[in-house]
Amino acid sequence: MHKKGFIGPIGDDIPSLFPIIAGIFIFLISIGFIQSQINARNEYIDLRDDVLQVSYVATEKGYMSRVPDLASDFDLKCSLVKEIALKRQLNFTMILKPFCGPVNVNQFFAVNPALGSYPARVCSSFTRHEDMDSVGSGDIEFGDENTVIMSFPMATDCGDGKRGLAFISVAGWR
Amino acid sequence: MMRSRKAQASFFDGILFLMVVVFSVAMIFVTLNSYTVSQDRALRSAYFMNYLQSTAKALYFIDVNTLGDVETYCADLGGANSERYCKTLASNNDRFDRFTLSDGSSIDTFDCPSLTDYSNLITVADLLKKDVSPIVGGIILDESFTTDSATGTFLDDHYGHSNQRGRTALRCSMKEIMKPFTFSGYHYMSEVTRSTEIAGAAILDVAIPPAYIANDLGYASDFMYLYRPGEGTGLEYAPFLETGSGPPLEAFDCAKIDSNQLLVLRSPFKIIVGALDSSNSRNPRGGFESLNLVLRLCLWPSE
Repeated sequence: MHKKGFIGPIGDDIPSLFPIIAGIFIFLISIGFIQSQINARNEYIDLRDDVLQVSYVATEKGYMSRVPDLASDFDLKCSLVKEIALKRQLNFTMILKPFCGPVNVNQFFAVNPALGSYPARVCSSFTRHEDMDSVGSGDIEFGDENTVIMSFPMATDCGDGKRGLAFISVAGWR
Repeated sequence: MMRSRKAQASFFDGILFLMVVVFSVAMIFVTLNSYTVSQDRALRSAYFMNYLQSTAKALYFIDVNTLGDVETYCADLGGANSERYCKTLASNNDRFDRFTLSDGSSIDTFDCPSLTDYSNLITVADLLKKDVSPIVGGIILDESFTTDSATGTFLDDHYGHSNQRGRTALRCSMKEIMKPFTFSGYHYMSEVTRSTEIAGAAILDVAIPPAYIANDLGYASDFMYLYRPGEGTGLEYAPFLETGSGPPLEAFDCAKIDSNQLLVLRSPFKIIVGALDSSNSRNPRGGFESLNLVLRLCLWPSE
């Protein structure tokens, strides 16, 4: 029955198996990679959306008093943002940086909240309320490279009854 | 011979399958390339719009006397090496941010130190409203104003004949607030417009001259208008920019900016003024009427 050179129904197609297996392999690897990319992008979009929602709450008014006090705007917003972030499973840090005059771009992008005679206020998922006044730059919590940071202009107290320019930065991560 | 052809055919099928897979994967990658791009743009726009909204809100609370130390872009950049902001003009040794008057004195078009003299609790919005107000207690202080005039009054740092530096306050505050965008390749423009309703439907915003406060000389007619005390309306076209490469004066308007990524925020406000006689638009007739004005902030990326 067997003819010379015939090595069976599969064996006869061995050369064609290589591109088929390669095709399946490429397809599965690609699907896995694409799925991970889609998940990563969706998570990043969700993260940005959550940080934006939190920032809407933080920038509700154009003025935020920053005197350390349970009744100050900053502390009230801090409590509110904490609740919202908790519901959204979001880790966050909110910094109110008073410039009260010209904006130093280097300080604008710096994390360090100490800005000369105008100390910044910090509120984060991990900072207890009573610690906010004494927090140092090394104590501020930030996430990994996927942290989303949004900054907005704001007016705040500058001493002597003045109100000047400040920026409030909201950083969020999972 | 038949078996050989069958083997070749199955090999061809395998190669064809591989090609189909590669093509499918390529199509999926192309689709992935645009995945979430529109969401990303929407979120970016939402962030920028919230920034502009926060800006408009903050202007109502920032005391102008805290803006006295705001410097020119040239000073911000450390002096001489910026072609755009520190360029010396060969004709009369003027810089874009400084202008020499005919009597030899010079004025700084970024005259923020003049804001230091204002007392606390006078905000940018307060000065801005006063600057564009044409009437005090029923007396018309600005001769350019008529009730049917689309321009209302000038944003010229004056309230009648007194110095009320609304334009300077807006310029100085916007320069600092928009600094992160300026140094990230974005242009901004802020202007005050008078809102006019047309046929009960459309709203027309007409800019109040000189209303344009921007960070780019190519768009900033604010750099072209300079105040000269006692001369006509006090507004004069800067001669060294008259022959410049910028667009003509009529082109300076948020609505005329040619960018498909333009974001515009309109923040309306009212000014209550003395009502004018309908027979003679310059005469007060008692009572009050309101001017519907709009603070318009525009933001767009440099192309």
